[in-house]
Amino acid sequence: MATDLNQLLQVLLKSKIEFVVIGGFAGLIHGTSRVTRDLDICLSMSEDDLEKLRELLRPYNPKHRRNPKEKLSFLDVPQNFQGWKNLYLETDLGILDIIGEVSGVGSFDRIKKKSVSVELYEHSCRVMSIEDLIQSKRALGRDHDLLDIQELEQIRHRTHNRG
Amino acid sequence: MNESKDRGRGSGSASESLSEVEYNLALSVERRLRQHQQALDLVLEIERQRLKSGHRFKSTSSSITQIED
Repeated sequence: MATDLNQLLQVLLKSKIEFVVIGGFAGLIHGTSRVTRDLDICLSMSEDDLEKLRELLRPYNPKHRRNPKEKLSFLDVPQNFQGWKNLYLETDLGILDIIGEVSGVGSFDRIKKKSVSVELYEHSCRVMSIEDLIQSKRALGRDHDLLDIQELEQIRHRTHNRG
Repeated sequence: MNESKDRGRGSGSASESLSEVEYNLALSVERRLRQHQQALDLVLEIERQRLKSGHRFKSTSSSITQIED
């Protein structure tokens, strides 16, 4: 099935859910060259927001993707969100990972405070700042994260030199 | 006869392997093309909005950061 992460982002932007784009998608928005296969967002993980998310994703067949043997529907599981820190979903529009707290950076409130606002699809989209993105990738430390850090640092350097 | 059977079996499995490789490659290429297309669409949307509004970023924190061409 063809994915459309941009459409998934538009669906989220049209909703009243507050979120910050993080991960590879945030890197793309800042100007990195590596493409990403999923959309990562940071949410407050409140019961209210997660229930809204569930209803929002209803038309797109959302499923928990971490257990390949049994992909349970997000519409049925969990019944309540108490204690859930992250959600890893697949939808008809693509993979959506919802993170409550980003390693090396902090909570949704902390990330939102330092986020930048970018106009996308006629909406204001909050995107993780370059500094936070670099920090989060340092914390993950995977090979491709280290490459991303190099590129993000070059972008940051270029930006500061212009100012 | 056994020789030709073996040759036939050998060339049959070689062509099956090649088809599987081609199939996996085609899937990989399709996936990558889609990812690149999505990235391009996103960048074009950012540029569209930038041209419409005249600037690219503003920070939500107290220190405003603007990136202008």
